[in-house]
Amino acid sequence: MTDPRPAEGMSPTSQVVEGMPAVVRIGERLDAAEVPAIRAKLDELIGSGARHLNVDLSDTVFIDSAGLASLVRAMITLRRRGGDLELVRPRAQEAWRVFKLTQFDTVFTIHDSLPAGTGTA
Amino acid sequence: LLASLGVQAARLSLGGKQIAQFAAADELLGSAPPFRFRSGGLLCEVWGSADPGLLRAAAAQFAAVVDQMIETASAHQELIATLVETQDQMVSLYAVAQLQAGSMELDEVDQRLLPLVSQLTRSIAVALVGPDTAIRSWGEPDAVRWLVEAGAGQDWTTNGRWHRLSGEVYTGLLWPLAGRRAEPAALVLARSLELPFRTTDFKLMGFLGGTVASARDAAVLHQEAIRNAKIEQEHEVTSRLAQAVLPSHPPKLPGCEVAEVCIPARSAGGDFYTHAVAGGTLFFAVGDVAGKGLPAALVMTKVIAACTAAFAAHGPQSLEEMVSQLCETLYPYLADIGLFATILVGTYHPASGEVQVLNAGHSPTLVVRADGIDQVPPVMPPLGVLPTRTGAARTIQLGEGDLLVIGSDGLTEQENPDGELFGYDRLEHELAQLHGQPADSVHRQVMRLVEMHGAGVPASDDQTLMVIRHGDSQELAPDRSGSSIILEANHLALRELGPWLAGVCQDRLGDPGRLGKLELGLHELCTNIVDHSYRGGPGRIRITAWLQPGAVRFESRDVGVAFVPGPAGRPEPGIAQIRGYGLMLIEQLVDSVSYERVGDENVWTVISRWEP
Repeated sequence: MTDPRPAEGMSPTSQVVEGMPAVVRIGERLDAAEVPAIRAKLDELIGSGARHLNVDLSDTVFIDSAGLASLVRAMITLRRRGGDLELVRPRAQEAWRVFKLTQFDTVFTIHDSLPAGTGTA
Repeated sequence: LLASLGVQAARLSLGGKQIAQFAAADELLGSAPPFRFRSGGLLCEVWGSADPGLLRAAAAQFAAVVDQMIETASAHQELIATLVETQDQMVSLYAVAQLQAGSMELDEVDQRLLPLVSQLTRSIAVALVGPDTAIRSWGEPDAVRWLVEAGAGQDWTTNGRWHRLSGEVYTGLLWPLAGRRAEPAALVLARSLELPFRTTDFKLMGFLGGTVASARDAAVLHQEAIRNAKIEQEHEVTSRLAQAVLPSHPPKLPGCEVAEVCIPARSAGGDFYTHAVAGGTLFFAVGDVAGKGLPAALVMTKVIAACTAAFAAHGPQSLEEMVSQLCETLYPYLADIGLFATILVGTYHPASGEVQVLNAGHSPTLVVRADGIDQVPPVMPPLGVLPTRTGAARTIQLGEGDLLVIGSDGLTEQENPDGELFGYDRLEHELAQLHGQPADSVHRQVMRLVEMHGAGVPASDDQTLMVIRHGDSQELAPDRSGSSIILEANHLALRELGPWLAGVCQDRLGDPGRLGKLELGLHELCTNIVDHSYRGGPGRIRITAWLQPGAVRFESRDVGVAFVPGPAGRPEPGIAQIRGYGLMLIEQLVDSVSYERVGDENVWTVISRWEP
């Protein structure tokens, strides 16, 4: 019998692309299992003084409320500091649906692709 | 010097042996007694007519000077002999120390070492000899010949002590190597007679002997490691080949479902199943060859081959003849090697639901019906015990949704960390709740329950499970059949929901986008259970799906704390708030969500509908 779960430590996770402002690229899933790693990454960037962050969801196919909450939390913190957390829209309709259902598509600043002047891969 | 002091004669002896003489001492021996002075082992005697005090002083001074000279000379000599004198020797010593013996064959090590040893010890020939034979040599051919011959006569294997070898042209030294892995060997060295081996050479020999011995040991270990790796690799390949005789896909027949698995405890094992389909009948066998690992697997392949032959030789009404043939084919072989094999052989006719089985010592075998469970006990001993068949076939009539479940004792004997077995009772109890479910679902849940029971304790035996379900579950009315999954209560495990859901619903949801909605909805429900019902602790969630045209119903059961709606109000869509979106999402994704506390269980019901 095969175990469909990904092995520990093999799960897709965030990747920071060098440049200004920093871009955090999310893997296929932004779910509760991924949240601790992504939250730690966002906290680390915010803690090191970042005011503007981009989160690239282009490749993300599954986002749950916990994943969404981790983005909302960072966005609130950054806006309080006069900055913002901006998103690159997920290509997958399944992942985009969460933003429509919660109407967070009207709350976040959302781009179709990475804005110019941000880090390149 | 002595004359100026009035000394007429003098004699110097070391250890009772005269080493130097001044003037005619012999003639003086009889006359006056000499003045004697000792310094270390040195005795200085002087004769003379001068003032006795002067003579005594002279003797002392003489002795001291000579003593000093001897000491310096011998220290220097020792230094020369022990230390490496020339650049070449330094290079050799470095080469010996750097020899990567761990990556070479023994022969190559010997080949590289001998010239270095020769260089370091200033020997004209060097050889490695075994107890009976010369292993390898290097140097001047004549000296080598002498060396091998002289070395062969020495008995060094029993006492392990060094020997001096003497000859007319050469002088030699035999130095046994204190190796632990390599075959016993000794280094033999030859020098010309002008440069005999001294005690001071032995320090260097001690070092070299140790280095050569460990380099040769390392080479042997390296070879052993390579050999073992090859054996392991061959074992692995053979195991895979043996395991590959198991059918790779369950049989496909209309009107029934079959799911099967065999997980060997090692890379191969004695458990097996096999099947064949002919004329609308499924022929099957599940068994267990005594023992584990490759030896059991090799016997297992032979049993499968015999089954295949028996299936091919007989019709569906000849189960007893099939088993007779198996007994006759396998008894001589199994009795010869002293092994036996439990086996349940059967035929199943999905059109009528009639099953015939003949159980030769195999368990567990269970028939799961809507109103209870029947065991199918053995009617004869395992194959290999008796030369002929002694039991009779039994006929079982399966109804819609009934299950024939054939496992192996590796399932029921799975231990948990406290040493408790999964057990037959537990297997029956779990199966009783799975009646009517698709074979694949039953099979997955049983394997998962056994795995959960083990909680990380490795299986001590092979685990095999074949589930035959009478009737195609996809055709069943939704109130009779559900497909279940058991999830562990952690976030990572929730990723199993998507693939499970896709398998259950396939393309029967009307709209392909509905699958994603259902996954997210159930995912949010389960996240809520993980976080709030089990509060991050261990637990299980059992989800069952009932699918019908135009609707799907899910039921989730868990035994965590009862659900209490959060005090915080539901979030307003579009207003940034961190928590509370889970249930809001579920409500938007499906048509209805309801909650009920039943006994100590939380029961959630989720329904999604569409125009069929």
